[in-house]
Amino acid sequence: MATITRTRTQLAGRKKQTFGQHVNASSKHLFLLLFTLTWLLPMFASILTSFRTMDDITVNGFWSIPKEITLDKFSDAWTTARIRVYLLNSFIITIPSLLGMMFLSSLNAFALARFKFKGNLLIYFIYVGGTMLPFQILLLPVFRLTNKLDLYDTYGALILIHTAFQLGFCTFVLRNFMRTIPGEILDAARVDGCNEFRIYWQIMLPLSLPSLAALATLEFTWIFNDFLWALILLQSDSLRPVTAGLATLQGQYVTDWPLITAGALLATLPTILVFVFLQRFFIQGLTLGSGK
Amino acid sequence: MFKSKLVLVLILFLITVSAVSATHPAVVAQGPEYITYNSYNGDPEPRRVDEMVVGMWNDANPLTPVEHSIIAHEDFKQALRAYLTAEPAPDVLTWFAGNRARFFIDKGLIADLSDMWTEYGFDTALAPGFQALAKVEDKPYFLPTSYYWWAVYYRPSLFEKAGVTKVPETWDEFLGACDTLNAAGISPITIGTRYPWTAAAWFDYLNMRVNGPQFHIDLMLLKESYTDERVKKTFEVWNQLFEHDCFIDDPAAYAWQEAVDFMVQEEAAMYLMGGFITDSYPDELESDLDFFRFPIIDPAVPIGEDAPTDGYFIAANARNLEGGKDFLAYLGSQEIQQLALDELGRLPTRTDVDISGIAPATQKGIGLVQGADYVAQFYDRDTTPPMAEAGMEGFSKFWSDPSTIDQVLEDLEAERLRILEEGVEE
Amino acid sequence: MAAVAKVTGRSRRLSEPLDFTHAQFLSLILAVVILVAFIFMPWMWTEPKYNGARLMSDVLVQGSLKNFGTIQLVLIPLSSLLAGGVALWGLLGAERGRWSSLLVLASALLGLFYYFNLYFMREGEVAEYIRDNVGTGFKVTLVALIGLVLQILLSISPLNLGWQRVSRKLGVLKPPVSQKMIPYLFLAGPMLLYLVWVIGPTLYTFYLSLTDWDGVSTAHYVGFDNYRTLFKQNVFTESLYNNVRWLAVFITIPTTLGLALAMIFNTEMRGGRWYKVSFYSPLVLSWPVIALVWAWVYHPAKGLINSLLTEGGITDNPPGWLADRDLAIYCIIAAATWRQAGYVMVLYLAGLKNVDPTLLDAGLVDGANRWQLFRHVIFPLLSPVTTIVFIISVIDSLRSFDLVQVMTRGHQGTQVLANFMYIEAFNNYRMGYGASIAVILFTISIFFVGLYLWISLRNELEY
Repeated sequence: MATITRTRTQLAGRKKQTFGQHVNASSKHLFLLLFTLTWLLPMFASILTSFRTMDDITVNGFWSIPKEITLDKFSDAWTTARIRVYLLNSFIITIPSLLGMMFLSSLNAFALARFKFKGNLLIYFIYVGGTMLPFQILLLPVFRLTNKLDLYDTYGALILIHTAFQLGFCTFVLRNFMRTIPGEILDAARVDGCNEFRIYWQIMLPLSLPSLAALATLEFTWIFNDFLWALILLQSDSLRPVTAGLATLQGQYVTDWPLITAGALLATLPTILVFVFLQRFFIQGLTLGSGK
Repeated sequence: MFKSKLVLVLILFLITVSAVSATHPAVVAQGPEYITYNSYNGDPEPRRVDEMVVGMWNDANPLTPVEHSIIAHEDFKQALRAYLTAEPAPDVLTWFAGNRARFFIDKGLIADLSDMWTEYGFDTALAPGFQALAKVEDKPYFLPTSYYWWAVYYRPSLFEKAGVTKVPETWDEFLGACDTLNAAGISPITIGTRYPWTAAAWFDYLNMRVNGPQFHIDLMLLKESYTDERVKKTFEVWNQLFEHDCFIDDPAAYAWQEAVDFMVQEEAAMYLMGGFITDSYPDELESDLDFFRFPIIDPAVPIGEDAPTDGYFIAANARNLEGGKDFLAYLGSQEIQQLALDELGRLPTRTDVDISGIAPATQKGIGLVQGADYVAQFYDRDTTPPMAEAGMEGFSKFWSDPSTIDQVLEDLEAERLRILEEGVEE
Repeated sequence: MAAVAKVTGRSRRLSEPLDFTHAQFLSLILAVVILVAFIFMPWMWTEPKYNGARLMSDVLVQGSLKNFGTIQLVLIPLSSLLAGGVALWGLLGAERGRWSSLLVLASALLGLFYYFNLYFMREGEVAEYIRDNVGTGFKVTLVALIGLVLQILLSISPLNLGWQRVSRKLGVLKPPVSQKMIPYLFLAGPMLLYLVWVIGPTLYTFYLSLTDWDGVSTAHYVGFDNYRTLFKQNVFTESLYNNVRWLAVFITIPTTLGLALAMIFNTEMRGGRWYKVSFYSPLVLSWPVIALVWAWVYHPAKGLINSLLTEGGITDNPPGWLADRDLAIYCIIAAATWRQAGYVMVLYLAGLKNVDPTLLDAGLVDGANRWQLFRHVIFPLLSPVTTIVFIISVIDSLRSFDLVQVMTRGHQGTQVLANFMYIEAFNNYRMGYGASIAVILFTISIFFVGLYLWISLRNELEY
């Protein structure tokens, strides 16, 4: 791994010499800086708004220098607007789904990557195809199914659908990764008398850790950010995950934009943290998903 | 080897911990007999009263507590459909009277309240008009608990400032007032149509004032055609308001509560709104808020007013039907209606509520409703839900480009015929 | 093996290793049975319906904890989870067999303890309620718990050896499963879940689209009526157009932008990392958050853009953005683009890493300028990424729902297919009709999915 990185840096360095010398570096930087700042403007705007009061904005305008900076809106959003409860719910839903789908999809991936059998490619393609379909088409049947199974308005309903639906994507990524692991290691274990399940658990899984980590990071943000299923499969306010909770904030605090933006920032915090600390895995996950 | 020992210790630890916690007394075992109550009272004031009402119940009935979910008004309207078909559905729900409730009752989604109706004395306590709203084929399904009036709210101080000396009573006076206000640099009318039902109020009133309540209600029941010349006439009158530049810019960007701000900041003078406007209006400015009857356009037609009725029903799929009925009866009790009147100014449906101490504004509102020849609910409560959906989308199209009116009405007519064909309406 | 079997006497019993696989396998199955039975159907076929999943939801929620709490209801499945975990742990290492059997026993006894605790000792209404309404799940759980206790019998050496011999003769549960069956064993669990929650529902949607189901009464077969109505309704065409607009924007603007950004940041530069982070950070925001942030940006009176326009003196009458029927859909798409561009950039950056720099050098030596180099060397090399980006753009634009739902709810001429379906199905109770919209969505997307699969199939065959 280290060698690969080194070569890449070398190559990039060489490219810089041949490619970048014609460019007027400072003007390019200035342009990029301006462009990036404009790009992030909506985010800055909401962060700024959340520290102000609506009266201040109404009276003095959006671009005025804030009269006072207040954290009140955050505490309001956290307690009165129940972001606290919604965030907890999001975790209760996300973590089991994540564990479930990682385990199940690694089983799948192991079978699809390591065995030759009838229907291998077909099953693989069913998973890949299922991942790419607009999941909205499952809306009605899944709503009905959860009702029939008496799962409507429970965490379980969301956990199950997330686990099942994301299975396709995880299988796809892990299977492709597992195919790159040299077969000799596994064969050696087989000769030692390991059964297949142990090969999977004790050899394959540890070797797949990098891609599992990347997947977990990506899937965490995906499930955490889901909105549609929470909208359809839950009715109790006390069970809502943070995305659905946020959407209702707009209806309840219609004119209080500082509170809405404060709520949005709090709701984003977990995914932002994941992104900040696991950025490498996140980006890896995204590129893994795009195939080779 | 070390690792497996570690796992062993960990497992043993878990077992002991869970064993200890099991012998610990259960938190409070009160039984699954709680009552779920979903309401749409998302705005701060109604929310406060709603929570107060539930709090009072929970204090009095600790063994059958209410599990309360408040859902923002617009979300609730959308989510209700899913709630009702789900199993189990919430027990008690807030909703609106009229066809909007009828739609669900016809689908068999609402519980029959016959047995509790006499038990709790609703057969005598509710005024006769509300009995009719509650019942379908002589069986009660919906418990109406309050109603309110619609009127043109305005700020007298702004009228004075702009030089509008007389509260408009006729259409010409109204348009004249708009011109005077415009000249003074004040937007005459504010409105927020992000959720387009507020625009429907304008249609209701214009249509009732132009064509009379009878035609209006026939149109609501899909008995009249949307391509009728009379409907066209209504939109022509509506268009006069655009020609006189009566409304604020970009109403579709705002929810109705946001549009109130234009009045608060003295940028707009009038708002056609229901009595609940005071929930979102700053208390300190309420002394400078008054209302008048929607101006008369054709003096020859009877006067119709919108006075929507709100209430509660119980889902047929409810988990706790009996508990739900008890709670419903509590919500419809004299005590709670009195509270809603005192706290929120919602008019009671019971005859035994004491209205002697009410505010002058409330008195005026009652007078408005009583002075009407015909009382309608509201566009989206009087017509069927699919028609209301299409109608309000049509109003929004008309609003953004009044010249498209012929196309809009044709589309509405097509939708009406489609609904009739599907037989949603009996 | 046959030779060993012929030998008799005590000595053989000692030499033959004990095989705990059967006990562990049995424990694993029983534990899963308990979990499923207890979580999903403890009160099945009793009234009122009340299941463990809802119960867990209620118990976990702060507000309900005080209304409803009998901790055994959570501990019973937890102890069976423990049993299952221990069995799996044993299954994975041959030397742990005895320990794992003992631990499964311990967990099972613990479960039984909770069970009896719940039935005979616990006071209070929940316990009474349970006693009065014993459902299938409870019965199954009891049987399975007893089974878990009995598995220890298979670990006692004479019984274990006896069972080994019997099973060998009968050929049941042969520990080394036939080689052919192994992949299917791995696939069985996940496939079942996928079948029930994804494939089944997809097919069911097709069936629903041919009925007039309203979510309440029984469905009637109506043939292709729903589709006929669909093409007559203006909203449908409007939604379809909006999806097409979305797609048109998506395959042009974010793609070009993402590619350009990737080309810029591919070379090493000062602060390059921070630039990149800035562009892909919108990716971690959820759609509702993006919708709220942008709704605030578009706010006609106080929002970012309009206050800039008016206070900057550019215009006194700025557009209404979301309030403007002609602009609204593009405003929403712009918000989506904001997120998408970063995604495309990440994909292209990954693609560029695989471009062989010697090719570029060769190109430069040949005297090509930078544009020609990009046009004739880099871009063709990136074509696999471009294909993926194209397909992802199509799929994402068909999936668009959240932004529309939160920003305008499909008013203001911003309806898209997914939201239209949601409204028809859940607002107007035309589930069958909604399903037909879903089928249309499916048909459009399957074409592109098929394209993608075809491309990956080609790669697979080369592999």
